Amino acid sequence: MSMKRINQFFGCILLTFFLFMGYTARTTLTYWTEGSVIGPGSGYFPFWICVILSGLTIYWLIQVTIRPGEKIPKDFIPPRHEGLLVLAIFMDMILFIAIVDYIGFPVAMFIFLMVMVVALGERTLRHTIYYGIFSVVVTTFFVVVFGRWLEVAFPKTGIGILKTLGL
Amino acid sequence: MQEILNGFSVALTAGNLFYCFLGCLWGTMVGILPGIGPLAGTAILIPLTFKLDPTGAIIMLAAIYYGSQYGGTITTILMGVPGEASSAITMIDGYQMAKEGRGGVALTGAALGSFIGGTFATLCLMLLAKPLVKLALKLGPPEYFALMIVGLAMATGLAGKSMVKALIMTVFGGLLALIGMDPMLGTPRLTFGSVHLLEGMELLSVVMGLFGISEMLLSLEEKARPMIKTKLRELIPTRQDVQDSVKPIVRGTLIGTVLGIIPGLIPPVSSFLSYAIERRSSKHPEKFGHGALEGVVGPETANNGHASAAMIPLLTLGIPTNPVMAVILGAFIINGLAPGPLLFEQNPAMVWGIIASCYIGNIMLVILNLPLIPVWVQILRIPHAYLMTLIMAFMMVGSYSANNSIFDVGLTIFFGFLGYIFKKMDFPLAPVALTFILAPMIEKSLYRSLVMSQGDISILYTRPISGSLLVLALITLIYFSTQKKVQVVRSTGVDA
Repeated sequence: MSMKRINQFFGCILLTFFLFMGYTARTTLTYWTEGSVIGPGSGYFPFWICVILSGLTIYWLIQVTIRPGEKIPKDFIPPRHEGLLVLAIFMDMILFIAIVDYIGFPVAMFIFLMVMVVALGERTLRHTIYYGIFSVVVTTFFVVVFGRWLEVAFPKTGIGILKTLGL
Repeated sequence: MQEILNGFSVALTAGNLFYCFLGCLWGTMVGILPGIGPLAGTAILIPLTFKLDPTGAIIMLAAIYYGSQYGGTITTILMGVPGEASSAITMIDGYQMAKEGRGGVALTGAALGSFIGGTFATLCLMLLAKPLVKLALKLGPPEYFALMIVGLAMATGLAGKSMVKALIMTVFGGLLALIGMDPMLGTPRLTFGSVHLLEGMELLSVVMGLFGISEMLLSLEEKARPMIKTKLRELIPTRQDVQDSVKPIVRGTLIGTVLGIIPGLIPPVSSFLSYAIERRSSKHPEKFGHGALEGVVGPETANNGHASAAMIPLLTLGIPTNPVMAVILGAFIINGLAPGPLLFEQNPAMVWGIIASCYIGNIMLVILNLPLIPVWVQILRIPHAYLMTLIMAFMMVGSYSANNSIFDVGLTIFFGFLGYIFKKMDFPLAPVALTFILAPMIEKSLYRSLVMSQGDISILYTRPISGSLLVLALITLIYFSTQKKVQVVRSTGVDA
């Protein structure tokens, strides 16, 4: 696959999104208000912004289509190991938001930190112990500074045993 | 004079000195650490400011910004890895000097130049504040609208390699900002029934996702370079070095201060221009690229002058000139304040306190950056796994704490993914952040203009000031898309 194809594919996704947003703005929102105040309605600016975005995207698509095809840059696709790391970190973040409401902030944050630091660091028993200590210290820092001092209401666990432990 | 003395009495209180120091410290760290730029670095600390007094909060956030310009030099010179975009041009000669054993001199020259550039720009802020405030009070909604469009045109013109892509990103930022409640009519728009989106997208989530998480993920794909060791005694420049640095510092100061005031320009523009001017005015242009001190001192002075001068339009007109200033504007708004001419009337102690703190911050940064270079270098020895994990966790918790909402954390991850894809596709991200924050102000000005003219759009171009500004914006876009020299600056992929 050449860079031209990737650009065309990406441009089509953008164009579809902008057209959809523009259509939604035009059909579901008020375009112009009449009555006591005459002026733009809530759909006026979104509609015109989507029109401009769609026009620009079409222009870009034409540009990439008529230009000679380029090779895919070397750093466009990450090497296998780095690519897996990026994926692992994304999954770790998604795991955090998926479990934090059920198991509470301290445990979810500990798991998030532990998974990430293990994924990025060396995997030996000695290092894993260091990572465990690091995760506990950082989680405690967040609970104390954000939870107590800044009074951020972190999600609390609904699981009995964790509740008993004050987590 | 009385105002600035009052400002110093505010800035020199123990609390504000501490916040200024904390901002300088974190800013230097943000500059040093590759993968986290000043934009995400500033946004990360916004949640910590919720409990602070607004003056201390803004002092700290401003210090992070100009502090990051100092810190970026250290990794640029010693490792050949720019800590942030403004230092990218410094790398050409700075890293070369370090390889020749003159890294210490390069660091000293850069720090002293940065101090002079930053201090001069703060002096200009002090002198220009009152006249600009008087001017701002005379501007109506059409003029404000046009002024912000000029800023966006400048930002777009210099962002990324392709003008079309930059334009798409600029307008896309506006679309994101429109999601939520219509501020004029109070009706939801483009929320698709989600109650979480009624208040609009959280600024911290957008900024931390686009600039923080995406950059961290991209940095995973890069290989670390070894560091060049520098001893403290190597920091002292020779008489010849001092002589070579004087003119680049003067020119860099002027370039940074003037360009910093212009809406839409980011510090890398000043440092790139300064480098080009130094090379052209040098008697030995062949030295550039092989360790010319002028190629380090000029750009570093310019980017620090720029960072401090960027406070001028923010404080006086309420208009952010670049994405980091836009985030600081967001911090003002979060704290219930609106920067601009009225703030000088309603809260002079705060405004002059912030201005005075810029002088103090610049002094702190020279102290932090010269004798403590070996300490900063140690930070880079902390294993990457710990640093990255800590910063990612800060971003997750920071985005949650803005509204105590897991939805916002999800949004941060989503924008992290989006930023990663956009970066891969070579779309510049800086215009998105700038428009995202400016869009509500642009919309309000446009709405008021249209109400004033009963729907007649010609009000924007028939009034002399707004008409001239809109023509300027158009010329800017045409100029930037056709000039080869500008394309060279843009081809480096300068972003926030």
